[in-house]
Amino acid sequence: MKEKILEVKNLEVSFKTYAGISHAVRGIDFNLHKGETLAIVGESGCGKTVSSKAIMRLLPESNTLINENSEVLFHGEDLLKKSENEMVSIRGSKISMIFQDPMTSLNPTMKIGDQIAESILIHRQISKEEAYKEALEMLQLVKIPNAEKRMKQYPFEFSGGMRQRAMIAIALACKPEILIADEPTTALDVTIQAQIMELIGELQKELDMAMILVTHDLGVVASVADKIQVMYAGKIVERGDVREIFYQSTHPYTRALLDSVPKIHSTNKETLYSLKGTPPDLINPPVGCSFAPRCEYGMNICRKKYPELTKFSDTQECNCWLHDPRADVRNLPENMIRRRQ
Amino acid sequence: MVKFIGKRLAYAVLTLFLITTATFFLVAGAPGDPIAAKVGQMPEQAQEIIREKYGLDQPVVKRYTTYMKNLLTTGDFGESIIYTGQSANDIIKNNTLVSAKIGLLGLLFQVTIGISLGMVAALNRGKPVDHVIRVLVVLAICVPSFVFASVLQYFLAFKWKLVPVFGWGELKHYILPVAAYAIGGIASYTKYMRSSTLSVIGEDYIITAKAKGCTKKRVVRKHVLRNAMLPIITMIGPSLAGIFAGSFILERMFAIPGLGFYYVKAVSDNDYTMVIGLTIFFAILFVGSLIVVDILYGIVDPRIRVAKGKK
Amino acid sequence: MSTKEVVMTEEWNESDDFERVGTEGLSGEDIGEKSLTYWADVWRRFRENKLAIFGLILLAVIVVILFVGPLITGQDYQLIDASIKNQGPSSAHWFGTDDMGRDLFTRVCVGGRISIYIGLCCTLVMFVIGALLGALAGLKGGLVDDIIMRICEFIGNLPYLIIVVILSMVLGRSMFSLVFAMSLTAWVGTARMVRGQILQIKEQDYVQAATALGASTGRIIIKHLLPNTLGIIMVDITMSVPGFIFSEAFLSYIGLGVRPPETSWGALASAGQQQLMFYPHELFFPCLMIVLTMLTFHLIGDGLSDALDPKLRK
Repeated sequence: MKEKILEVKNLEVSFKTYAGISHAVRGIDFNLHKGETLAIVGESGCGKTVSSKAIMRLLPESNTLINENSEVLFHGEDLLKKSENEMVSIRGSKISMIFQDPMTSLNPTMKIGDQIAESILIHRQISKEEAYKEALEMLQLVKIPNAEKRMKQYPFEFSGGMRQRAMIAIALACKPEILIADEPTTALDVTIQAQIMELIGELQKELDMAMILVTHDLGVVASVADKIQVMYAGKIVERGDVREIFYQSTHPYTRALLDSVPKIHSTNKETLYSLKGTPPDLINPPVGCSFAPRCEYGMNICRKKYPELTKFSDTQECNCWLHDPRADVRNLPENMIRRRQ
Repeated sequence: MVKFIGKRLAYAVLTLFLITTATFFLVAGAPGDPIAAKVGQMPEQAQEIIREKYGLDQPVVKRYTTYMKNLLTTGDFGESIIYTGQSANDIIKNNTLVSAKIGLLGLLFQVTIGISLGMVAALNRGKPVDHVIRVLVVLAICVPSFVFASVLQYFLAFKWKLVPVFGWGELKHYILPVAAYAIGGIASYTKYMRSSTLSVIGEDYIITAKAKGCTKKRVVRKHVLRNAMLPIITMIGPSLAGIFAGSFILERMFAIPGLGFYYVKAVSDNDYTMVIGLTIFFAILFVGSLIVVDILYGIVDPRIRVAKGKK
Repeated sequence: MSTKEVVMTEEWNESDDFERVGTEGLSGEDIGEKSLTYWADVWRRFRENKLAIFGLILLAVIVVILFVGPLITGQDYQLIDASIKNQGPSSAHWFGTDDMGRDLFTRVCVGGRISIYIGLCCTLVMFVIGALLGALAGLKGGLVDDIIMRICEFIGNLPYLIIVVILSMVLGRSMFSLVFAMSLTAWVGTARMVRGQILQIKEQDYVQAATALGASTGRIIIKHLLPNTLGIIMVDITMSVPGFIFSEAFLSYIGLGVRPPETSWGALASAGQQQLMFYPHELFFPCLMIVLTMLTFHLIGDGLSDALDPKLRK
């Protein structure tokens, strides 16, 4: 087993809003090992982005509340207890992040080269010229043609895909140990999506980074991720390795997500599945399982009490009442019933 | 870029031509005899001579072509018909600088203080500093500049005798008019800078900068400031052009011999050649400063610079 | 093959706990508060803004005073009485008297009516011309748009104050020329704003969808464009009225505005300024009214734009 570099324990994040306190992340735990890719999957608003920003302490201080017992251990040190100055030296050098919308994530009035060189200059004691040389190498590494000319251009002269490549160059400029990619391909054309994911995958191997890939698109995850965890309404409802999630998922929500991915080989003319309803209001989160009201197999108990954890393997576990022996299992998908036994 | 400036200049020349023409025909063609008051007492023959001197015996169109020819070939803005021997060029030459000094100094304070206060308020959003600045801004926006000038004049100069009530020449004469001129502008620059900064702080690229490891100071200095100031620069254009308009009232109140002082005088004297000449000069200043701002904006915002340059 | 550890901490007695209920009473769209209509929601948020409500009440009070005040005092605003020149405030003359012995309170009321009247007139003219031309440019596009925008650009490139000065010189100093001159330059902003809004909304998917579904232009304007532009126009109007009152005061102050015997706040302030050193109250009261009126409109305008801002909606 590889070295554990990040350990998130009981992470709870809430926001003060006009309407009350919104509990965006309600106690999640996970580990990340060296070189590993962990995908966090879920609908928008389920707390994926908030958790990843909380790790980097990028949430606005004024209205964010993080539980005192929460811990984010990076090489055993709690990032949540670090001073802002200590965080500054970790952000961008040890842990980096790329964001969803490359159109708005780059400073419109700063040259691309300057934006890449900036993170190198912040974290390392080298001259401007050297930093620029390295920035240029980064731009070549992310396969931007005419890199030298591109260094002196502004973001608006780049296409969406090119901008995301530049974002990747910025994030990786200091060879971080962990890359957090927050929906890195969502805003891009489908053809570009594959290229960017491929590039991220390649660079990850080359630099031996661990990666947290946040996405709502299971299709993106399949080729890159090692482990997947599914989030719903601020909690992790199921986790497992890629094969387990794709072929033997045990939570109805995971099933619903999988069913809503279009399948190229599907020959019958059945319409694409779509999950009814919307995630619950996180200002007054439901008492029981938050997915219960939208779950076609939901039982009375689901709305009263949060289900305990059921372990299926070293890697796969799930919080769902359907795995209780007393559960009503009529019409459950066959491979889910098999997994129960 | 060259093409962009060229196009802008051509447009400005056209605008100026239209303004000049419209001004001339409106003012010169206005009903009433502009020199009736002056020549009323004179014998018929003397009146004729004077009318001939100012070309008033000729049709408006003819006067217009003569005027334009003089303006373009010799830069002659015209001669006063009330005060013999005084020309618009004299006034422009001797008094523009006075107005410009007050205006530019005032504008300098407006922009620098306004931008700083706006930044401070935005970066401390919701804190007491922010509330104090916002209340002051609302109050200052609601007070017309002449009211503010009167209050300053009454207390600082008249009651407490700290500065002269009016007059011109020394450094101490600058204090009241510049302060009166600056206050309203400071308020609006503060207001706009605050909202501009707030919207920039909410942008995604600010999070990118933080994620890179920029300290708070560096984020503000390298990423927030420049982007937040962009929309503010568009405001400087009209302010720059408004410098001379703003001087109308203050120069009268503080008896400062600037352009505005003479312009208002010419208007109330019905000195139409003077009005035409000074109006055209004002128009040149105004249009000119708009061009300067366009170019300035192009330098600060690369999107405009490159996009316009390529076209 | 697979391990299973279900830990039960409590015994569950109710037998129907594990009965399947499925998506019965599905949450999501049907749950949640009754949705308010757009304007009801705007009004609710405006009402919550105490400053804006204060502005609204203060404005109402000012307007009532302007119209009712002279009836109570029973003074004539033009009556000259040399025996009571430059008196300070007293029970007979609430705001004192001016340099000709006229009752200042009555004059402030009468002048205020003129100032507000000019502010409203200019705003109306500005709004009608601006909205019509802006809408025309935005909806028609092409050549019409080009011509209107060129005109706007031209007028926008003119120094506003000088236009006003020249026009009032040419047209003579009357209220008509004042309103004419001020609105002539002001409509450009409204036209640009309305055009920009319409272009932006035209691009939006729901309007394109409405067009694709065969909705007529008239219907699209009434159902989609109007409610969306109206908000911004309302804010513009509330901010314009004090702007015009300000400009009127400014022009009257340099002697280009209202002519005696009529008066306005600007004219009163100008007269008061002559007496500043010895009778400061003659400047103070007209200025106070100007400042208060400006303040009310600003508070209302700020409240409105906050209430209309979709980002602040909740």
